Amino acid sequence: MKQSARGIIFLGVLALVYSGSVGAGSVSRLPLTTAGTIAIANLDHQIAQLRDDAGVEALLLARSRFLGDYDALDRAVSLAERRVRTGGDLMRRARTRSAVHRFSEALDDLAAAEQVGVDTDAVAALRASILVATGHAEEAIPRLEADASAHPGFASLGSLATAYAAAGRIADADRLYAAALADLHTTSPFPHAWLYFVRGMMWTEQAGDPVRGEAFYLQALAHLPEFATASIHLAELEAARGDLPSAVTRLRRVVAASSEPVALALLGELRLRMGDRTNGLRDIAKARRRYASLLARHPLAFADHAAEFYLGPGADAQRAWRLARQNLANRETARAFGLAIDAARAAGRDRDACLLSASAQARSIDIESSACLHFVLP
Amino acid sequence: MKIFENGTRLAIFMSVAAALTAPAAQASDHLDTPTVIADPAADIGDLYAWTSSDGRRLNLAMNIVGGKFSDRLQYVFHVDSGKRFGKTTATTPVMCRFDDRNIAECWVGDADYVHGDASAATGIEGKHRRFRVFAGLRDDPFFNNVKGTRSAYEAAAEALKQGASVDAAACPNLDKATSRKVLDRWRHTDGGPATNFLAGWKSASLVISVDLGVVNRGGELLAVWGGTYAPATQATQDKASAFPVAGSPVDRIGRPLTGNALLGPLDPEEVSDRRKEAYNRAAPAAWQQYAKDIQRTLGLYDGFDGTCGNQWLVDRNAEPSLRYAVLAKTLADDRLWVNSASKVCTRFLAVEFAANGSANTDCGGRTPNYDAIDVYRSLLVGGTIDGIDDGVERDDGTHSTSKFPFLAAP
Repeated sequence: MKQSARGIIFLGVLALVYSGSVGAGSVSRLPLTTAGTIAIANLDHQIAQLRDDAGVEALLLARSRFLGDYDALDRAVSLAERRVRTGGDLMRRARTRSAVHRFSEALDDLAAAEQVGVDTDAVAALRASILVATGHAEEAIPRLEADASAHPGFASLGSLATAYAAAGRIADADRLYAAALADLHTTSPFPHAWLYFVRGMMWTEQAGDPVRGEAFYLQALAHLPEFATASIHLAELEAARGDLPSAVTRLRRVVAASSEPVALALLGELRLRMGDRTNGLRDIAKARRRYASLLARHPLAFADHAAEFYLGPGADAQRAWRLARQNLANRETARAFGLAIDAARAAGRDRDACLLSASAQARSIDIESSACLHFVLP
Repeated sequence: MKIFENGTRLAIFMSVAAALTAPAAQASDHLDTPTVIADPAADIGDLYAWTSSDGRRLNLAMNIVGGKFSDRLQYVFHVDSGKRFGKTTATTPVMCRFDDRNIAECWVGDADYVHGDASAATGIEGKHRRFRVFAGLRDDPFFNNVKGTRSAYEAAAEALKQGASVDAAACPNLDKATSRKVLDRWRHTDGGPATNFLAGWKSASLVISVDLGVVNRGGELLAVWGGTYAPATQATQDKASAFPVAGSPVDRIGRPLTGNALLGPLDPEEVSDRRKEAYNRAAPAAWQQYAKDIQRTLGLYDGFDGTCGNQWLVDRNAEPSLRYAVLAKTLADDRLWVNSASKVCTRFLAVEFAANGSANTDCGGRTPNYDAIDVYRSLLVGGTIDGIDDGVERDDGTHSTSKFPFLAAP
């Protein structure tokens, strides 16, 4: 690419970044990426072309992630589980297992892939992402820093940013997310939407800046209006600041197009708050059935979301506690500890909550524990 | 509520790219770099160009990996023209862009323009009737035993890893058993009969039939290449606008296989990807810099039959560094050459043959019915137009060279 042309694209991307960073205002211009409807049609087209051939799993996972299509997730897992002949197969199975939070088995696959000669960089990259997902970001960071330095690009920068975010290094992560976006030279909306989404999630949920977070969610949706998870997060923020009609409208669109139980549950809660008891209870009942179905197929993947559901509109604290413990056993992240502590308290297990707080603190995870002073901890 | 907290999620984008890399090798131009693998609307599959049997039109077809065209990209056929092979003196760009409903807007230089739904088989005709456009889903005419080809590569790579020597021109000295294994794997898929990896594939296809008089200003020899471009600003949809300024190049294609088969096919993925990305974005003035990459790969192919020095256009008497230079230079000028004075199109590379002493009157170019891949590999391995095949003789679709829009319905 000519330098001048590259510069123009770079400036265009920067303009998008900055227009999203100044506040939760509207998106002032359309992104220079392919329309979401076309990109999704092309994703589906590729899935159809590949049929059950190796490689289709990643496309199915993308469909699941962006559109909340859990049938696609089921198919990806099923295909990956029944095809393990080559190192490439092991890598694909590791990715799908990781996607459904079967991290330990995914790591086993990576070790096996390494033994049969799969490129060590590819193995290390996926291993590092699993470390981040399981609460060991600090261990992954040196490797990811080396990778970003040796192979600077949106993928390596984005992975490092995610690790920094998990380690609480918000400013460093934000700088890298911006750099990763600037390095995107594609008209595909998917990577743009994803980077804006995770950047928004970091600001909202880790840095406590929902205004900035909302601006990034809007950018994600400007690139891919069909992005179910970004819509749900934005609806949460809208609901939190009292804009229930907008949140409901957004969630209704998600529910109409996907099988995402988080959207159903939140929609049900909001409808109850707005006095629409019949539809609210119906949505929550649907969410309950969806969680039951998903937990039966992918228990680890949905343990945390389901625990949150049962802590909230699902109103089953004992079940929430069981799921939260299961989730914590799978990955010791700050969020998993927080969820387990909340669930323990809701289930009347204050002593367990305090033990968990102590355990988190022993791992240098910052969890509130003042309520535990009256317990004698080991 | 916190919905997603999974560091593995970013990996999806790497894996989307990585997932398709394996079958990509030896597709024509499909899935050639990470950039286009992640963006099927930008990823050109193949390019075809040939003259009509009445000698009045140039027929052009370009398909992409996606099923729909992007509303943010420009799709361009460059039709260069001249009087001598290798020297063109004029060019006519044919550009189309699309809106989010895939309504087309196309230009043939400054000569004609059309806007509308081009997805019906009859297509739409330019305002001045100088060209006709079809844009829609069609059968992908490319056919290739991709898995067998990859397996053949692996056999050659394994032999090199095990210590097979390589001569000073980068041609491997494969023993007879290894050579037999390579060629046998090329003819089979997973040890069985060869299958066309792209059987049943459909792709968004852009088909143009244009008056020769619009595109042959420089002479009767036409050199066609295609590209996708990302404009720096949004396309305006003013219907009578002048020919748009082309954006930044994303993908390009001339002959089949140049990127996927000739630019570091056995190099580490990262190395060959970087080279192919640069190749896709290179301006014509910089194309010859890829002759060295191609030359190195030509040496590899030359040894596949166990004999070094029998490739097409090889100079056996040249010093090793120049043994493959003529063919490398020819292929680095990556355009489909069409003799527009001819109404008969049956031979891939006919213009290149004529320019190198094999006189013929074929138009050359590439129709959707050529077994271009077998010709290509036969020339590169054994110096003849046949003899090395992949066991796949034709596409599953039936394509026409005379009835617009030529490519079989999906």
